[in-house]
Amino acid sequence: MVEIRTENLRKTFGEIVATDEVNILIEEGELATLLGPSGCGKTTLLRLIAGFYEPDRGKIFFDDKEITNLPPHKRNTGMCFQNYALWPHMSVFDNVAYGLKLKRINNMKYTKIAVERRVNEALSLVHMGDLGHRHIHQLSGGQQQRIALARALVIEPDVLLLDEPLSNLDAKLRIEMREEIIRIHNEMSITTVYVTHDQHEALSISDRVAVMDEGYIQQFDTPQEIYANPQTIFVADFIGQCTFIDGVIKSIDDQITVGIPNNQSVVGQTTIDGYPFETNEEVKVAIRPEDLHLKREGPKDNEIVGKVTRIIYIGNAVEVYFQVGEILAQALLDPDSEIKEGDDIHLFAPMDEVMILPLGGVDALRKVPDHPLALAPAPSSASSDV
Amino acid sequence: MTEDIEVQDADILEEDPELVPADRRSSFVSTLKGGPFSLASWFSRRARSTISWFGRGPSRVRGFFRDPKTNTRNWASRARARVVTGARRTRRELDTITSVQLIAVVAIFTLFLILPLVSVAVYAFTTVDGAFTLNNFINLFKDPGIWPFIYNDVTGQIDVYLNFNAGAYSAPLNAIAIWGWDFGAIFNSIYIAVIVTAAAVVLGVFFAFIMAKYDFFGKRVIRTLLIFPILAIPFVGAIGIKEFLKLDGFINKLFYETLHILPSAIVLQGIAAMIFVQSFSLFSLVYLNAYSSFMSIDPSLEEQAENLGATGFKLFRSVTLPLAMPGIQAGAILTFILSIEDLGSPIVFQDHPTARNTLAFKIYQAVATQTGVEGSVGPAVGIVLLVFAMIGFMAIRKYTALRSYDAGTKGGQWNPRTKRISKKAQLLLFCVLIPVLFLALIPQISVIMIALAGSWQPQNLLPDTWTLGNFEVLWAFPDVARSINVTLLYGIVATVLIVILGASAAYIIARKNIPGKSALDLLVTAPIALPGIVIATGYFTLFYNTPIFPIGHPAFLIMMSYTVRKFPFTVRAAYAGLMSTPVVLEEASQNMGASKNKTFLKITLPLIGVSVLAGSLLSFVYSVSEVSTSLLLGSVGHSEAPLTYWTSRVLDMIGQWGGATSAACLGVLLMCMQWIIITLTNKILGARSAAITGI
Repeated sequence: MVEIRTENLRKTFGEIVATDEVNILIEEGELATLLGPSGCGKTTLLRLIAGFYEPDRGKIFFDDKEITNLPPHKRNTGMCFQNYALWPHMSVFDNVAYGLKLKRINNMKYTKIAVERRVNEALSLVHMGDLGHRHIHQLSGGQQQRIALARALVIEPDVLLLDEPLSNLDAKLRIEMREEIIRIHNEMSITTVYVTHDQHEALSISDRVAVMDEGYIQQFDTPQEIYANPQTIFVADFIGQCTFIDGVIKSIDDQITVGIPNNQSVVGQTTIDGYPFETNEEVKVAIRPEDLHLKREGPKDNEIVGKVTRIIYIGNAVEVYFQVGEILAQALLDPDSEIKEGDDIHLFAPMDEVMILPLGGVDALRKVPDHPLALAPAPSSASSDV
Repeated sequence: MTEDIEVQDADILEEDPELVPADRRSSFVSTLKGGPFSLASWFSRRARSTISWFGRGPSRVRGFFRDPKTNTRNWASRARARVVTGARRTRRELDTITSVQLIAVVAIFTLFLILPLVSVAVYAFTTVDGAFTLNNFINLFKDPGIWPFIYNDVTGQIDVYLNFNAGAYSAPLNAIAIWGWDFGAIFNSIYIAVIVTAAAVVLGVFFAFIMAKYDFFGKRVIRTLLIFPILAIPFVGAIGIKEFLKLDGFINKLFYETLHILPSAIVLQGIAAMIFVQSFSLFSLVYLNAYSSFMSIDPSLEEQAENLGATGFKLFRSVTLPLAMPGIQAGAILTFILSIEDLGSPIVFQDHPTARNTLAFKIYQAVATQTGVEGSVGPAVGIVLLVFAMIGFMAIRKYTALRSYDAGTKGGQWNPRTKRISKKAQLLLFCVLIPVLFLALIPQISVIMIALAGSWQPQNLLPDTWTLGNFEVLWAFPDVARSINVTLLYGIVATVLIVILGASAAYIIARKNIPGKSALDLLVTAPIALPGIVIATGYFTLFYNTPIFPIGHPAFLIMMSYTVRKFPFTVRAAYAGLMSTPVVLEEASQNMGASKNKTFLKITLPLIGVSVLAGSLLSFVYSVSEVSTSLLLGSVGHSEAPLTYWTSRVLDMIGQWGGATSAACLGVLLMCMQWIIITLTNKILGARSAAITGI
């Protein structure tokens, strides 16, 4: 078991910056997810950890040992590739045994019996005990996925790296395999880095989630924190749903009052501790649909007035879309509520559920003292090189 | 029930009424239209970018001198940084074994490919004393056998030596002799190559389309037969065809005397005969490339087009053909190069003067007859030939780069779109296929018939008796018997070298990220286009009478020339194998703790082993049947000369064991060797058979 630490990691491909200023600490036995849309740099980061790429700048540590320039085969990581990368010219058993046969512990190698025992253990761990003699093309997608997992686990890696392992499976199998991965992780508690673009997968599986966009880690935190206190507009938008309203700060005390179009104003809270807001600063007000209610719950609730444009029934709730000025906002309401399209609607949002976010994404976070990005060297190279 | 089927069949027929004619026309039209046009646009694009580069030149220079000190420093530091990162990248990517192999490849190619070519160029541009001169080239343009427009000093006018007299009719014999126009070697070689390429494209695309898209009785047999033409190198085929096309040859006896289809006997000679031979032996290059292009088109692309309303000829012209075009064009250009550098057929047909007026033959004449290079005609013509071949090669490189869209499929089901055709359509198909196939296989049929013929009365269509006695020629001359062993030895040595160096060269090109990688790729692929005869000339100018090439002992150089010239087949096959093997399979192995060498041995090699094997078999086949360097190098050391050399010698000899029959026997031997190996390779490669052509 090791902890993974990266220091100001940067990787470019020609002109394109794949990932930059990555400073994360993944603790021992933790399951951390890299989450983001395609092209955000999450697979690049994973492959940097695995050693298939060499960073342009920055360092990677496993515990206190720097491994930045160590070739992949000396890192003792177990990787599960997106398309499984099972060798078609070997049987299931040989695929899993491959890494064990190469493994050396103090210049000693495993005996044939030891290899067999461990392979069989690994196969039964993924519930594939009796399929060792099969060839790869005789396996279904889910079975291949299990074999790839067994192959990665059998060498007892310090770090388990999973690159969208479930993306090729159908919905039902995906949930099944997700449970399997959680079970195996709990059993073996290996430090695990898991790459996915599926937020449900990420939120349900991880101890902590790193949300990435355009090569930057936007936020690295527990799923609860990511959802409740998004640090950037991107995170608020990418995780769950959100209505955004442009506004200008009118006053700051315990709460922040923001003027929004139509001369309305809302009072809310910042999600970023220590961000130096100023009056007259342009900000975005973000409200999650489920935080809008038909009834006033506290005396200081924000009241928002709009016109209903569309109602979608989704079983346990109704999604109500309504127009506030030029903005189309969304609310998630009780299915029994009697609202019709075209109605004027009054909705109430508690002050501590209204999120006030600065513009500027990760660059804004540099203004926060103690934030990893603020501690990183000058950002000029990041933007001017592009 | 049967009626239903018939109705359905009729529907299919009606759906594709243009099946046969459309196919020919479209491929013909698009070759005429598409090929030259895109070539021209490519050149104009290149030219434009070059011009604009030069155009920007002055401003760059001005900018530099505005602040020369800083700019120099900047430039120097940039250059240093580039060298440093390049060296670092190389160190990271290459380990000891790969580096050694890389150095070996570069050394061999420099020594036995680049330096000989450079020395030919040097010879072509220098006088005997070593001074620079253009006289060798100016002399070329004073020789009516090479250039038809010659300035006459006496009259002050340009004499034109264009000979449009392409044939003659002889009334007493009721025979037409056709030998083709004679415009001098340069124009002759070009127009031969153009006609051959056009014919090869039409035939090749036609067969490829039928084979790829339709299912019919006897398809497997025809597919196998279609592989054969590629084996009969024009040299062997020409020997048989020459006998067949004589005044009292098989063709005239069959079509004129027996069947009375032809109004008079037809005799092909000189250039006309060369075109005939080359067209029917080189079309299979286009066929193989077009076939694998058609097969690798994602069926859903065509289904989508059909779904949008395109059917029949429209579908073929708008989707199928454009998708297959890169493959077809690559095959066509390769045909052009091989036709222009072909030495075998002009040698066989040299009894007519037009055949002697071709570029390859001019070089052969100049070098082989003098065993030296006193007159620099050979090198000068060689440079002309080299320029044509290089232009063609650059065009191929452009199109092979395009071929990457062959494998653009993501998931989904691959439902091959082969149609079962009706009995009626099949009959129609056979009416077309069988005569064309017969023509295409004449080289093979004729060589075999001549080799096996016993006594053969001139008036009879077929030989009176069949015999194996002709093969006694193998024992008649000790050198011939030895040449079989020698040929096999050369082939094996060359193939072993090729495999050892070729697999890792392909690996470096496909997987490593080192500076100069594309130059390496160019270097190991270029031999496919470089005329062997020019390379052999270079061996004479560079190595003759040195330890590498002692007088009378060409063995070592023959092996090296095979190695260098047949290298691309293995490299391309291995490269194709690597390209179809996902990199993650290797990464997974490294992740499991295997080093790079271990990964190459345990994962990469087993996965691409089949491709390397197939490629090496091809390299072997093409080595043993190599003509141009063999003839030139063999001529100075009879006891070490390979089989192809002796085939041509035996053909020229007079006496019991000389002439066409004996040469045909040697040809049959060569063909059998090739057939066995090619059939094997074809089995191994399956649909990837385009690798046979090496591109």
